[in-house]
Amino acid sequence: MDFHAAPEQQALIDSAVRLLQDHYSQTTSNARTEFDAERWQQFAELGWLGTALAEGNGGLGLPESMLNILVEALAPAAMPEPFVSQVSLAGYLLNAASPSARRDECMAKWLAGDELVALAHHEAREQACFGQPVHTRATARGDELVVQGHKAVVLDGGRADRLLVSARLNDSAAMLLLLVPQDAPGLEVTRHATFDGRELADVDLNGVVLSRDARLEFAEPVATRIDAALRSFALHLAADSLGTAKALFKLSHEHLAEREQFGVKLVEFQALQHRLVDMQLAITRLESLLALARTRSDADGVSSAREFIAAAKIQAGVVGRHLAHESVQLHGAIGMTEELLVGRYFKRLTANELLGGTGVEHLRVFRAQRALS
Amino acid sequence: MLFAGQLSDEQAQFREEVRAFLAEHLDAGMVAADDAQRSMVADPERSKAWIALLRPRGWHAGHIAKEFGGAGLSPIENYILHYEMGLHGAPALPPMGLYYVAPTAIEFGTQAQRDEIVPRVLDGSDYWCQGFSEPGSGSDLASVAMFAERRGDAYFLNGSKIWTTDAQHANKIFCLVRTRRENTRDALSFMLVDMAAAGVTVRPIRLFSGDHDFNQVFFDDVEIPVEALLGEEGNGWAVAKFLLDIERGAFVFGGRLRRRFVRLCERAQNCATPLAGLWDKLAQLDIELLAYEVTELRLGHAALDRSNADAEASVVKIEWTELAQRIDELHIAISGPETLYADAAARGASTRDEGIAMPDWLAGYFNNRAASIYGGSNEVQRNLVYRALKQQRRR
Ligand SMILES: Cc1cc2nc3c(=O)[nH]c(=O)nc-3n(C[C@H](O)[C@H](O)[C@H](O)COP(=O)(O)OP(=O)(O)OC[C@H]3O[C@@H](n4cnc5c(N)ncnc54)[C@H](O)[C@@H]3O)c2cc1C
Repeated sequence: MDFHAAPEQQALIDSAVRLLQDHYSQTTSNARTEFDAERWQQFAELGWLGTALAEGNGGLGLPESMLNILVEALAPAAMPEPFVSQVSLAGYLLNAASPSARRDECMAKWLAGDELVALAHHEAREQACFGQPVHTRATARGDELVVQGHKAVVLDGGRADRLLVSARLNDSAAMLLLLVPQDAPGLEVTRHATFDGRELADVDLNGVVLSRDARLEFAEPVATRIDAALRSFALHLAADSLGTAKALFKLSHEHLAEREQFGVKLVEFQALQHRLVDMQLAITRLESLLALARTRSDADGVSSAREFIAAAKIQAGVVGRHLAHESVQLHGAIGMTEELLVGRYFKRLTANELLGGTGVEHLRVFRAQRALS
Repeated sequence: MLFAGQLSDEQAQFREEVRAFLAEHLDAGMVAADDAQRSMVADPERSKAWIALLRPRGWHAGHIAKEFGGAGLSPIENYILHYEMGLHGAPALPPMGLYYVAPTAIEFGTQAQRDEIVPRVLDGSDYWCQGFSEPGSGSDLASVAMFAERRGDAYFLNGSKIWTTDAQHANKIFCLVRTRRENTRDALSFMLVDMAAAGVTVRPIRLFSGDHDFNQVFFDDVEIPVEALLGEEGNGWAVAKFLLDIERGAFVFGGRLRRRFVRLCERAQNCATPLAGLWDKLAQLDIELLAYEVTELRLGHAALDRSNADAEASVVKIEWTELAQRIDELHIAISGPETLYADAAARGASTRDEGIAMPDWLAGYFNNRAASIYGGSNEVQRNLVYRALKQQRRR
């Protein structure tokens, strides 16, 4: 029973902090929102992309919890680079797929930071993140597959070099996961920039023709694997929210300690001190839930740990909102401007809540798992 | 405790041992009485019976070293023991002697005092109460005015203590008193007083639920020997601080809260007209309770780094009390107008529940409003947490 950072965890956190200091010193809300390929290369060189990938696949073979800790440490950067979605969706699925020439090549490029891969699974802009029906169809035609369908909320879909497209085979219920290159004829990708600097896309597949080896093989049903990738995404989003909430706390505390009104530093007012304490208590709660979700994910896998991941994701929403609202309030008018990072964090937390399953959806998961009805 | 994955083999085995013990010795009547009890504080009679069962293993004093007659459990084992007892509805143990006096006497007492005090706590000969608060001194405890005047080989006590839980049951009281007239902390001393001494009187104070939990204790020229001093004269604040840190941090509430939550869910299942959004509310409580269970372990019983233990104990105190109060509140909301009927539930079988007839969940709700006041109010705890945050910022 140990809640303390092991030396290798600490080393990972330290390397993240160093990088943040060197390259992510932006201090305003709307500074640099563009993807930086050089930075991404650096993540690859540091081994971060492969943190939780098997050693046999070229990764570091560390447990999911370590990746989660890294995500938390990187959060203060609120970076435009899509680290969280790439490692938990693309990285998770490529790692889980059985070796094949196509998959190995794709993973090597992804791990080297040369290519991005986006999961194109959801088909509607609706609440449900888990268990959304898949209507996209792959029809066998000789040695080829012809894919027809529509995908929505595809994170990094425009920037990605390849898409991982879920589809039903012929008229069966069997689900496939197909590697589709961005330049495949018949593939139409419409990019959207989100309010927090992320990028997502709507994707149309109009008779996209693929060779049979575009199909990734898995030891388990594809739907199970996609579901697990989405749980892992939720887990890492919660860690991103925790790191962001902590960064907001720090900014707010600094501000109150510097700003003077009525002849004293604002932080001298007990009412404000107590609000800082309540923010800290909220952070402590989320830290505890993430500690639990990490432990259980490492021990039993993300699928079995879904109730604890749900708890962490729900609380990340609650705590994120609390920290965002209070941070703006405690900053006063300056907190509303794009002069500070406060707004950037606020937007990031808001988007985190909407991705990877909202609080409403995870509450359903949690209640079902714990028989709360 | 909830996540078996984190227990070592020995710890898991210890938990099995505790569970087997509880299955064998904890009878349903005892559990029902504890569930129905209106006050959070231990019931003297029932806790005595339970302690008699724990004593052969030293589990009534798991946290006390073997050389002093306890079981000398590790912090984690002690946590497991108390989590399981709470979860299974074992009677609460009276904290004043076992948790406050015995460890404090071990820390500050002379050998003679340890030999005298600790065995009598462990074998149940002495039942202690806490004389800190006074009518004029609550949150500002260091301002206590009760005076102990040295005359020859004795001190003479004059003044009064208030809100003294269990003074009606206790034969001993420990007091923070002033031994010099100055208004400084080094004028404070810590004294152990026999309540049978001439000049001690106890006046009951009733809660608005009618229950009798605490009292005012008057001291009218009470003569006590100089050996009654624990620690040196003028060192009373350090002794009291040591004890208060235990009060805020040493207990395990996770199991008891989990039990209350489970009972609340049972009630919700049996409720004819469910409250709108009821199960979502329960789920949110469950999540925060999970968070609390981990926090209690992470910052308390399983913590390696104790450099910030004060503030962390305050965090734990704020969290458990406010969570407990929310569970109580929801209990009323779920039960609805049935709460108006005094016969809706049997009155607690506790000797302390002498109050106005009402369902136990309602009396529990009323009484537990005290949780955010006693042991240092939650506002004062927030002051302490902020003090630590301020230091962290400077670092
Ligand atoms: C059920 C119960 C059992 C108790 N048992 C015992 C016992 O056995 N022995 C014993 O010695 N005492 C006991 N107490 C007393 C308890 O320790 C005190 O009630 C507590 O320390 C608060 O003091 P007070 O009641 O005088 O409130 P006050 O100190 O007068 O405070 C009143 C209000 O002002 C707030 N406040 C005070 N100072 C500050 C500040 N600096 N900043 C912000 N807010 C502040 C408080 O939080 C509170 O809300 C018991 C109390 C209760 C309710």
